[in-house]
Amino acid sequence: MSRNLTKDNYNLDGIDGFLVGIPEFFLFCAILLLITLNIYYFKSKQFKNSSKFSIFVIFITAILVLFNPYHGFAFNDLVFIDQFNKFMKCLILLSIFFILIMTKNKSEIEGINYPEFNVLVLLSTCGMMIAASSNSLMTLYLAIELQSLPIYVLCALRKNNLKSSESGLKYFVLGALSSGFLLFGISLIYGFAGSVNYNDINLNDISSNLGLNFGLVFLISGIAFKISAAPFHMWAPDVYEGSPSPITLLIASAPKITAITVLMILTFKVFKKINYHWDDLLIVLCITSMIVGSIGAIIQSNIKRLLAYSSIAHIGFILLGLVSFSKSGLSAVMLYLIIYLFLLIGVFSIILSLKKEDQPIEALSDLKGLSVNFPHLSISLLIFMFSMAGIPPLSGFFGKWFVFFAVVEKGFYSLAVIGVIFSVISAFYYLKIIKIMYFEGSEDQVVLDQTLELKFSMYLSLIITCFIFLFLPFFQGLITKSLL
Amino acid sequence: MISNWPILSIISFLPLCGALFILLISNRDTKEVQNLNSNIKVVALWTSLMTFIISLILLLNFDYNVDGFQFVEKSDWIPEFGIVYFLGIDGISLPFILLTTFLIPICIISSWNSIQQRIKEFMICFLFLETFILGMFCSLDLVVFYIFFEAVLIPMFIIIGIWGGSNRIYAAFKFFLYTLLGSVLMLIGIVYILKTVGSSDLSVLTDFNFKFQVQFWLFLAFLFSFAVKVPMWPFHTWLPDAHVEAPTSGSVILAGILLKMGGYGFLRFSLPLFPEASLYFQPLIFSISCIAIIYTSLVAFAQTDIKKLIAYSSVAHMGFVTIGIFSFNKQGLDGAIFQMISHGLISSALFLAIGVMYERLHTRDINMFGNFATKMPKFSVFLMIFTLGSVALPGTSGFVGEILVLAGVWKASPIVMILAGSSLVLGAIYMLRFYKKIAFGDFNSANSIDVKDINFREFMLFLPLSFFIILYGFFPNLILTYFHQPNSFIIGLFN
Repeated sequence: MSRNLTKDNYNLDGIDGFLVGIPEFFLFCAILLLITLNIYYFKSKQFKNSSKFSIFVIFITAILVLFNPYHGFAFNDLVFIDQFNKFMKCLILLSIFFILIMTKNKSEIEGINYPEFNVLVLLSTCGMMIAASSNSLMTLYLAIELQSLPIYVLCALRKNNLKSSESGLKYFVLGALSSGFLLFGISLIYGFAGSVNYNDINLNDISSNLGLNFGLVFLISGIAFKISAAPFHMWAPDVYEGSPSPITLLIASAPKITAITVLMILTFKVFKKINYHWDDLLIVLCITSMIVGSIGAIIQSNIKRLLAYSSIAHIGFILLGLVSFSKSGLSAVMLYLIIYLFLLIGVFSIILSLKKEDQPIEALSDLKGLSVNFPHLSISLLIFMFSMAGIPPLSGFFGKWFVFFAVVEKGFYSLAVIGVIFSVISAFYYLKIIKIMYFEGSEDQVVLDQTLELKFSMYLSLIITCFIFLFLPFFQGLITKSLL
Repeated sequence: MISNWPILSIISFLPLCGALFILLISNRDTKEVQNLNSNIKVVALWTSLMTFIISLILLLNFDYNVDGFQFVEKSDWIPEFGIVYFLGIDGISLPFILLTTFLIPICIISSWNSIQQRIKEFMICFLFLETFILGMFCSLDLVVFYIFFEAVLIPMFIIIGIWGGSNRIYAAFKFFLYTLLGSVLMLIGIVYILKTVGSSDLSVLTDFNFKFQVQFWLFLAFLFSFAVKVPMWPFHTWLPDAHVEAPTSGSVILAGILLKMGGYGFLRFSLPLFPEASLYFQPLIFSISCIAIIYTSLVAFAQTDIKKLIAYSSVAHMGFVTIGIFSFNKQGLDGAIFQMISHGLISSALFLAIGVMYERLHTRDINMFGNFATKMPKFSVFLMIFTLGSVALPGTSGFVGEILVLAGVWKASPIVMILAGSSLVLGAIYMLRFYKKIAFGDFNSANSIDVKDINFREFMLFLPLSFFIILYGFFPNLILTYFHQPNSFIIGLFN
């Protein structure tokens, strides 16, 4: 619980402050270098070269994050780094790493063959990292903007595709609205709590203050939009469907991890004292997300729309862990994020390696007969689906298990019952995918185009999904070491 | 010496190794498909036979006079939650393990020719299924038990869905979602137990006394899960669909073993952990079991689909099991377990027989069969034995189980005994009608088709089953001695 230490002990000024931010500085310089290189140096094979460069950059950044010995407050308390931030940043970088390697040889077929892709992804990563370590609502706001703006552009990257442009615009308009919410909430909190800095927000004599409550509601709404928790989920299906698949994976993983990190810090650290103002709000978000995610996905016929709804349902489960406001809830959420990240990587590595008439596959019916034509792919997808449905001994079960443990520990039995019932309902559409692959006739137009990187991502996430029970002590140790 | 080996882990995970081995058999060379398929079948058969042989070692080294669990293996798994990898068997689980290892090779042989497509996936599914079932019967930790208990759904869903009949998708979904909904409620119960006790180790849990209020809710949570599995009326509706649509071997494993998971769960967890709640819910269980016995017997009588008929008769027989378990005395418990084993043999045999008939006439309509006694004399003899076993004729294993259950329940509640006893008559009505129609029926379409009597492979399938049905009918003590220690422990909780 390093957070409880007084800030004077850990305040790093001057050069030390810069040392805390080394990974972000490195990343930023690398982005500038990448832009230059894109223009002057990477003439032929522009995308591939810039892709390789960005993978290398992400790798180095991750090493810098892991081995940076400096902890504490920096930049006039605008930033705070501890084990928890490091853990979350590593998770973010891991997802970005997989997105980059999976896109490396797939840019042409996905219609995103612009080297700007890598620059934008790295820029967004920079924003996520800063957001994860922000110690002030202002830093948080700016970082979230830095994270979101490149993603708006990325969604619309397939210029000639109507749906891609639509999704970019939709995401931008609604994203701007949510940023407005966020900013409005921040300003209210600033007005009624006296500061935007986490250390100075004064909650001592304002337990019944209406203005602060309003601010909190707006703040949560803004963040709920970023994690696409219902009822702020409207953008998710359209944006997931319209964006190119690698971008969909990006939207589904890294920004959500960031927003969950922010939510954890806000709930467990900053506003913990007045959590009775929060928890009803979170419970509502959690239950509506589970309902909308589980029921909305049943009628979908597009793979990515279905995944959008499934992600809403998963966010519901993650919020279930947060609602418990306990240490075990926190570690359950962290474990869930790891597990869910690898499931997403696995599913998208399969979607990316299939194409139909030189176009990426879109409809669920394209998976027909996958089990006959590509047995390895279909058995992997089957395992991922059963895991998402939460069937033991696969990883999804353990994610849900720890979340339920945290919820029951707090005595929220009715929430746990609602959770399991919706997990059964959501099992229906995961089974539907298996049905399409295994129980139905075959579709022969789909061809396999699996690069080495996609194979690697698929098998790695397969190993983690199947043998999670072997890795559990390792993950648990990692999480307990870096608990907030 | 042998007791130092992790023999239960070996038995449980040997089929898994076989499945991985089959996975490695490459099918790149399309020319030798025939050769490849027979390789796959042989590997699967040998794996399951090896498992059976090793489980016989278990039988030889098992000491039924010893109180408590034997062949225990224990190691930490998730220490901060108190979850341990804890395997061990007692007199209750041993017969089920042997039944499983005995039935799986039979299933594989029975689908030797009837499964024509995706043989590789089929065999892998079966071996996975065997691992999960054996792991479930061996595990003595609630969480480990739950993991195996629910993992069984995955291969079974695929078996029904791919190799099933025309309405297989509906049946597979119904089976999966129904049983999943039942078991997730148990999950919450398990989480609650973990939270209050701090351990899911069965030996710790049996020493822990839950308050009655807590027992009440926990018992209900477990009841949901086990009642769907048994299946008890009114949670039985998934069973006829699943049975009718599943391939023959799938039906065999479903009737033979999966239905016993519920009863086993009651014996292993519900009774020892929540004795007061069990006593409290005894009238409820008795009444729904009586309804199940009478209602499903009548429903079975109305069926024209022979698979559905046997499926409903299974629900009635499992009603006997739950009555026996909840009469809380020696005869009742002995009878319930014996009835489960005997039903595992008899209903599997009946489903195999239906498979044989279906392969010849490609119909399951009871009115389409007839005159088998002259056309297939060998088959008719076997079918006679199985039918009489199902009717519980003295001399077959079915009789021992039912008479013990009735004797046990007489002590608990004579009215229930009379109601349940009516099933002896009702069962005879629909089973004898079943046999009469098939073996001695009038002239009909079946007469115009030339049907062959059973071949050597099918003969070898029926022979061991009918042998054991008669053997245990005459010498029930071969099994009953094993129940003595564990059952006296359970009875001790209720006195």
